[in-house]
Amino acid sequence: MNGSINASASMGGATIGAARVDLDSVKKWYGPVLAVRGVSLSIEPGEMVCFLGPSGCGKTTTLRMIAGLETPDEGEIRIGGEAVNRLPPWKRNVGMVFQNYALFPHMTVAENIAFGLNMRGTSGSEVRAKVEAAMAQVRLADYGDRRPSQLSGGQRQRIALARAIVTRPNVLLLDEPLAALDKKLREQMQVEIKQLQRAVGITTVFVTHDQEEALTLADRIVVMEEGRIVQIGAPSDVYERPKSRFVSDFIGYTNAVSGKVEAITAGRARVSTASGHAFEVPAGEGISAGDRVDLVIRPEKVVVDPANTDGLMVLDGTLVHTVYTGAVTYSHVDIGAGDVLIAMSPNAHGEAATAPGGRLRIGLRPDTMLMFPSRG
Amino acid sequence: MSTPAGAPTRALDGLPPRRIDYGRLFSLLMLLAPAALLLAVGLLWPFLTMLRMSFLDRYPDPSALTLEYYTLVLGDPYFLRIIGRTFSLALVVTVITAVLAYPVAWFLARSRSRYKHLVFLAVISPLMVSIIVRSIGWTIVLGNEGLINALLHGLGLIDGPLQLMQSFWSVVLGMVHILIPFMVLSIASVLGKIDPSYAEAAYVMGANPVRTFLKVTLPLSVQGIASGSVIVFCLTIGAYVTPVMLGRGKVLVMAMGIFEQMVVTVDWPTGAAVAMVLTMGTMLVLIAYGLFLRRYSRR
Repeated sequence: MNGSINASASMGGATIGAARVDLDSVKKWYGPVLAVRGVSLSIEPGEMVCFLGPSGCGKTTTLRMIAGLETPDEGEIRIGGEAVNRLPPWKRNVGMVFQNYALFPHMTVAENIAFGLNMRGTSGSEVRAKVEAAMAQVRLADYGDRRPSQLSGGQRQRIALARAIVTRPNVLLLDEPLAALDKKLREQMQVEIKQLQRAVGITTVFVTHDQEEALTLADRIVVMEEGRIVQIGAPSDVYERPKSRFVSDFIGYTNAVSGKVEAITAGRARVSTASGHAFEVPAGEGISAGDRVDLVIRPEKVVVDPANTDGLMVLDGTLVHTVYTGAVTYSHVDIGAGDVLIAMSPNAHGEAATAPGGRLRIGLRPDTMLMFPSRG
Repeated sequence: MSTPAGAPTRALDGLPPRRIDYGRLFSLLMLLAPAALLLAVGLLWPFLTMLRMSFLDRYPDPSALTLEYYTLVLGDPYFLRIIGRTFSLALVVTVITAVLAYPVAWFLARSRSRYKHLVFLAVISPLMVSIIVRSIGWTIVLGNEGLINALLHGLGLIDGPLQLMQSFWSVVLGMVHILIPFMVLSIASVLGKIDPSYAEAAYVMGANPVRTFLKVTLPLSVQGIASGSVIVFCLTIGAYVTPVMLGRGKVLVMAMGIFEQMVVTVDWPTGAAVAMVLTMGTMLVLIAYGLFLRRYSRR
């Protein structure tokens, strides 16, 4: 079970489809509800893109529209430059892994994988060869005669992957593929999926509500909220430079203090908070003096009890409570007037010494703070 | 991966070895006891009595074992015709019921229509009326002075009345009507439990709706057809009232034959032999059917 998917195994010669996928102002209504409100996006050939968002944000509906399982009410979807709006799913040549895998319980593993090939009229000997290659690729070569019910969750996941790529589809679609697995297996499968995707070079779209999964797997993350795309970018872009409070909250810890912009000079805003501090942060667009704002900072950018205070803004506070997670500890520090900042510190030298209620110094670079208009 | 494929062991799968929990076993037996008692008194006892009766010379004065009554029944063209007719009736009714019920079951299981409840009510409505009333209802429709004949006569299409009753197919019609709710409900309950993502997975893999139905949905719903078929087959094979009412004595089935032997001619051993042939035949058919379905749904 450990080790990785055999990335060197070939899928049987011919190049696998690495098609471009374009979404052009795609909209979808469910009765009176506009579930997808005009999504436009271009996915490059061979790219791995992740739709990330809370449930009900339209990410799964968008994926299902690419598969052809839902029809867009407006807009156009193109796969490899060809408009597919009117093509039913069985004519689209896509591969899909469902959240519950949807492996046919009345067929063996080998029959499951052979299904798509048989539907395409592939000859018997070719089907056998391809099925064997696909099973070897997901390292389950000896499992062909088993029933899906005789497999573990991780094995089912791999068979579902093998079944999705054996027909060499133009696009691979993954709908919350790891949601049913436990944490450890999920992390292992993340690596395996990424390696498999690189090895076969297939354009891949996957949907998740798990930000860590998105950061680990995707070349680009598409963050969705209420049927709209709110940000598209590389994982580090989306994490370091979220465009809105929603994106920053959804990816990573919420860590914010609110304040008021006193003045903006030379591209820097001076923000005063209820706790009596004044932060000098990079000024954003659309914010002017007098505005109420939230200042957001990642916990790992807040240092507990800094030894070297060069360039740091040092704040004195009271430790409210700590969250020990093994590798790191999160310290919730009250910096006055109920404003709490969370600081993350690696447990390099064992547990932190300060007990809740004690005084604690924290340091941060105001440059790394992000400023968003207050949500009232 | 050294275990032979298809033969996982409990230990390998990380499951604990099976242990017999005697306390649990006892409470299970206690739960089964009332039903088991009822079966023993109401079914097993009469069955064994009949079995004994059919093999004994001159019941109730048993002297020796004999196959006399079986050779009598199985050698008599009269009985053979009845047996053949009964089994074909059950087979035809089962097939027709399954074919007619499947689309309705599909609608009940999958539709989001607001008329779904009305359809459900229509499906189970025959169950709310007694068999005898329904059979008389068909008499009103099919009889010589019935609805259809009156209509055809009124339209000038026929001179004399058509003989719609007293035929094998009028009995089939009545039986299908009476038994179709069982088939619809059996199939619908299984169809409703099939995850729609199976069909979607088939579509995405290139199967059009017809092939998806034949390769995925139908095999997955076989259990529903199977349980519905068993109910319909068994109820048809033992049917008495409907063949009497709609066949008007012209369509003799085994239940009527047994009744005749036991009550009219008071020949209990022969009646018992016919009853045993009916029971054993039914069991054989059900076993063969079960084996066939098992093969099909595993493909």
